[in-house]
Amino acid sequence: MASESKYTELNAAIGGIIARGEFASTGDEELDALARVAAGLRGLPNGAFRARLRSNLLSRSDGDALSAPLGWVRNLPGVSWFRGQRAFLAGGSSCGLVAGACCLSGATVHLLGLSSAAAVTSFIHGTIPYFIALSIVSMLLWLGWLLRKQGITPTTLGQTVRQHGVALAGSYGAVFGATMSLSMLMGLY
Amino acid sequence: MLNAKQLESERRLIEASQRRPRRFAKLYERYFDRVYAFALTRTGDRMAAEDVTAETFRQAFENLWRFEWRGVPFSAWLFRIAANATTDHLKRVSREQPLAPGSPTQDNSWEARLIQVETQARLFQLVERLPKDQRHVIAMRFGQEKSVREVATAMRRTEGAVKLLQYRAMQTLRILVGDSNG
Repeated sequence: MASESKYTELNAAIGGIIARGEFASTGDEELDALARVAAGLRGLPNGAFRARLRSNLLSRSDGDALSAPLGWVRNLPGVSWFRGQRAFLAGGSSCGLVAGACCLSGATVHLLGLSSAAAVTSFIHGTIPYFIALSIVSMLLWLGWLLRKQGITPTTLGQTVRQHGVALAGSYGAVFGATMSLSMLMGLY
Repeated sequence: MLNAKQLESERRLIEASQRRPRRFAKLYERYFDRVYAFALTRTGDRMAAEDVTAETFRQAFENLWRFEWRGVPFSAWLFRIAANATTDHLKRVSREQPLAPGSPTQDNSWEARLIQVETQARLFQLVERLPKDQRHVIAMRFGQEKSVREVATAMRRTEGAVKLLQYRAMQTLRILVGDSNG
């Protein structure tokens, strides 16, 4: 029981340190020494913040091939926006490609002369909802994986949607639209 | 203070980061705690310290290509950025609300602050060496400022168990601090 009261006393001292940045001596030398250690931990960096900052910095560096003397180019407003969005542009495009895979594969099969236009059209019509659903699930899984590294909270989710939603949705729409346009141009859809 | 071998290794790491920015991750991990501790001691506020740390690493990352190795530790360059970022932050804050007398920026000598930064950064690093459960308790109590009850719920433990883990973590840290001080 004596030990339990020590844990509680130390916890009370830590509560004071976190709230006010100070602690009153407990009168116990051992506990005071531990509380002094605890005082040094006030403001301990939040692991989620640390991971998020690292991830933000590194997402800017993905695929960086520009040489050092061109560093100023990277800081131009338009360029720097794209640099910050690269991961999301790539993610959105990949998912758009998944959604349009039926159009692309149909077009390829038709071009190779392996199937008639009518059969490809029927295939695209029949499967496109599944491909769209698969692409959306892939996007959600990818976003979940990405946010998990940063610590999923309503804040990180909201920030991600605000900062990267346009890039993600835009690239998804552009790639999916391009695959559909291709199949339309070929008279397959 | 870095020895010649460590300086050489740092030079190689910086040059590698200039060529391949993803290598900056290593520099980030190496200096995060010190930059954050520096910002925290200068501002005395977690949110402000996070803002300053983020700004410091953003500027360092974007301007790394300008960095020229002259045998001076990378940390000196980084701390200069952090000091400027802190000054900018404090100016901005003081315009919005004047600083209270005795705020963290106004007391202590430069050397005392440096020692405080190094001590605090070392303590933050030592948390990583705690056993898993103790580390989780400390991360939630101090890093996320959760109450014992909230920590207990998150860890599916009793409040008593959390207090015990917290107590043991402090004991372990006290020993580790003693060891690292030699």
